[in-house]
Amino acid sequence: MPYQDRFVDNNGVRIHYEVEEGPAEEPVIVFVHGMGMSTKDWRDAGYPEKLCNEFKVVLVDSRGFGQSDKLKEPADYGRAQKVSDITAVLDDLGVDKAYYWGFSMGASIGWAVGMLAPERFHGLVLGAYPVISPDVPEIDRVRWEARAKLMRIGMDIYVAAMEMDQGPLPEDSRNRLLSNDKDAYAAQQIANLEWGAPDEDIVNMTLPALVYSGTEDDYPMPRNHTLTKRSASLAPNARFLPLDGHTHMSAFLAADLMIPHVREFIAMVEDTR
Amino acid sequence: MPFDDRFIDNSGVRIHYEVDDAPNDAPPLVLMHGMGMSTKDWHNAGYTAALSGEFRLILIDSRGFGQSEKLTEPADYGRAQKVSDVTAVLDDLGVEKAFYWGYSMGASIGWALGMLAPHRFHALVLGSYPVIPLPVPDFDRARWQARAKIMQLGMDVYVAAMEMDAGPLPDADRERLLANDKDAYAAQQLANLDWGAPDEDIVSMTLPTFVYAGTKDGRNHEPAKRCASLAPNASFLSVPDHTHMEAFLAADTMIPHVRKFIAGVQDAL
Repeated sequence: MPYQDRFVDNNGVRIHYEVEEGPAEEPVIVFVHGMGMSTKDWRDAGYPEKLCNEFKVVLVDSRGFGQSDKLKEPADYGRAQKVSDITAVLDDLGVDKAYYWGFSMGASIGWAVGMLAPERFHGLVLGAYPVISPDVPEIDRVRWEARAKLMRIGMDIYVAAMEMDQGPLPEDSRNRLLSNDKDAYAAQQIANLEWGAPDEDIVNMTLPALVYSGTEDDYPMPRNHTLTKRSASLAPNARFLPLDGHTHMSAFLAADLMIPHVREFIAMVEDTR
Repeated sequence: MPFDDRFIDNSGVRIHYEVDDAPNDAPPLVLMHGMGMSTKDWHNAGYTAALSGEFRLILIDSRGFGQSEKLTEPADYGRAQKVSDVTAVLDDLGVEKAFYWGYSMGASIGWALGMLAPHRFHALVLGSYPVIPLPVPDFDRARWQARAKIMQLGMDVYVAAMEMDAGPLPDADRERLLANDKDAYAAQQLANLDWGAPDEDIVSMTLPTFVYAGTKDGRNHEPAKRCASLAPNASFLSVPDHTHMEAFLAADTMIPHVRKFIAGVQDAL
């Protein structure tokens, strides 16, 4: 289905988004990708084409990625700023309330959306990322700082750092990584250090949420699956769906597996509206 | 037991080694470390304290590491050159034949010794590394090239590349890595591309050989086991639940196996 490329100015930051030209005007569903990815990855994995007849599909490039502005300072990638990018897109479209589907970093933003802008959403679908703890564990701090250091030298060095352990990356993964802005990507690794939210904020997050994660997902944080499940258990209206045998990346690619669950979740939320 | 630091010139390359003052009738045993390590690591892991007196211990810093010369061209790290460093040390000591224990890269050198200089050894103990296949698999080629690219930027960048997935390295590991010469280390990653040997060469390797690897050493356990199965006088020991690093640190576990192996070889001499 054809789509429109649009841009919105959010307090001086240019945000790119895409609107699917489908028959449905609502419900609106906003997709936000993971670190190092963009709107293109949702398309490549088949999500918009499978959903555009029943939803108005909106895909957002999170700041620093895809065709959105590449800011270099970690302070530009705070929770409030990234949440405001999403609400600015809703404002631009004249949409009062939408559904939200985020994966990995997109789920991290989704948790923040649920805490900071719940009035703009009916429900959240959050794939494969927990709420970051305010006491960032040493292991994560060191990993994010190490990544930032490598990325700042160049995305090719970050690719080499992955390949020195795993062997050659698939061509499409390598190309996706290399297409990123090295300084914008590095800044977001460091920005993670300020993304922590206390458990009370999760407990107070009352938006309906469907949280899912592959049972074999220990990326990008160790114990990612366990931590994601824990965050879901604290949110009063969240339910958790484990994807048996799935890793971080395979859970993202599992559009056919996830879409029926998301349809059912949204139908349930719509029934109670 | 005190060790004597010595240096030899092997065709213009300065090689550092250490030898203890064991009794003259003690059989000579060469210990050869892994990539990024040095003679120091055998001491730190307790091997020299445990084996001293029983063997005449000869610890060598492989070229590019420890106190040996840091060459920066991959061509300087070929099989023949690294083998000649070991035989040059034996020559310097007037030792005709020795036992050899190599770990990781030291085992890789050991396989090459068994193929290129078998007349200088009674037997080999080879920990946690196979013979690199010929042709070199694309998987390994990509990994070695990636490592070299990162190391050339600095050992601190290499440390970051390890920490970006694993989290913080233990201080001892970080310090050991940072102590390396970045260009010498990088050159050896690329030199690996020319270390492949065909299966026929393993089949023709007749020295008594004891090969071992940890069952949790995912990249090396099966390939090392396979090489041991091809070499006619080699045996293989799976070390249960040990990773690559743990199998090196397991001096107490391995020494009784090695004693028994060497005693068996000596009985047959």
